[in-house]
Amino acid sequence: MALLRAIYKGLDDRYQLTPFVEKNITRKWVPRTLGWAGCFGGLAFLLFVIQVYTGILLLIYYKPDPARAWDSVTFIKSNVPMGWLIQRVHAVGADVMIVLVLMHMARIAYYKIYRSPRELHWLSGIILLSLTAGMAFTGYLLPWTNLSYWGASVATEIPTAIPVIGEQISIWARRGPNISGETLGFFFAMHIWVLPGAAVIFMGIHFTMIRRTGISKPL
Amino acid sequence: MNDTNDKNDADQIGSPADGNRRRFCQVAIGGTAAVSAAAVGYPIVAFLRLPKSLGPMELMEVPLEELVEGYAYWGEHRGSQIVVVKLKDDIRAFDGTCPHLGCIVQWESASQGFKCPCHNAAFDDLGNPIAGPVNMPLRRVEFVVEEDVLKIRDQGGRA
Repeated sequence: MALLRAIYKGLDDRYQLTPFVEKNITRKWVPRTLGWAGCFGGLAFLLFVIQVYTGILLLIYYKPDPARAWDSVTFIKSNVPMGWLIQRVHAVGADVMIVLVLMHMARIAYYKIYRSPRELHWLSGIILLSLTAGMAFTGYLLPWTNLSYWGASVATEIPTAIPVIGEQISIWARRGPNISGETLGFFFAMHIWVLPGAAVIFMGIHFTMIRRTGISKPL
Repeated sequence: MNDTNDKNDADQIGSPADGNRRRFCQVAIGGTAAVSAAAVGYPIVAFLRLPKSLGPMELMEVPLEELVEGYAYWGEHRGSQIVVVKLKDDIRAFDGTCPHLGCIVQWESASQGFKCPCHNAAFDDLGNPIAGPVNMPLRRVEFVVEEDVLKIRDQGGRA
């Protein structure tokens, strides 16, 4: 502990950390009318962090190849120490994250917090909702089970209802006329880099805007 | 009990009772944080341990129907990469480790021989060197066939 204090003091002397920490964390006051319902956005972010670290662990063994994907997930669940837990947390965490995002949005909508000057908070939130749903959907295909195969089949069928371009959208998303190994590679890249990367960027924008306007104070 | 007096004692900043309460809160919060950190940290650390079947003791078995003439079947046997090739009239198993610098060789079905991707060593279908910076053959690995399953023999230590 003495060592940690010495390191902190050395950094504090040079970079004045204490005022920064006090302003943003330890002495940051929130309105006393703020209730428990105000925590859903933060919890959704916590779930995102959990998904990132369990996802990184799963990547050690997961193989994005139709011949080996299912085997590699089974291997994680049955052979890797604590693999069953990490895999389950990642799978269930996705559901929990969506529920928390929706609860967060329900509160914002109910209290009309989306009104000026916070319209763009809502807009960036809608983008984050889409990205969350996208991450959950692309992740669902990766274990390459019957459920995930048909789930992806049905969902990529939906755009075909759009006139004229619908068919092309569906073929683009599947990387061909059917769900195949190409689809798996595409969904995998989307799931681990593209969508989470976009989510991090939009979360940065979302949180910065909230910091600039301050959170909404009830009357 | 006189509630008011208790309250006054405890709420007096700097009083002994206030110190005790502060200490209790510090221990309670610190303890909860430590237990939570252990609960989250243990599975992560455990996940990074070597999984059961990646250990060196696995023995390799191949159903004969998996073998295709002219092509190679790769597997792991006691930590070694083993390649089984089915030829017209023979089945042969080799340790896939190149005797040059230990890369894993590839089976080239076009030339019916092995080629090492690292330094271009080449071997024929008996594992004998035919080109590149190597003058030792690939090591042949013994196996038995029981009930249409090819089983790599446990050859003591590494296969």
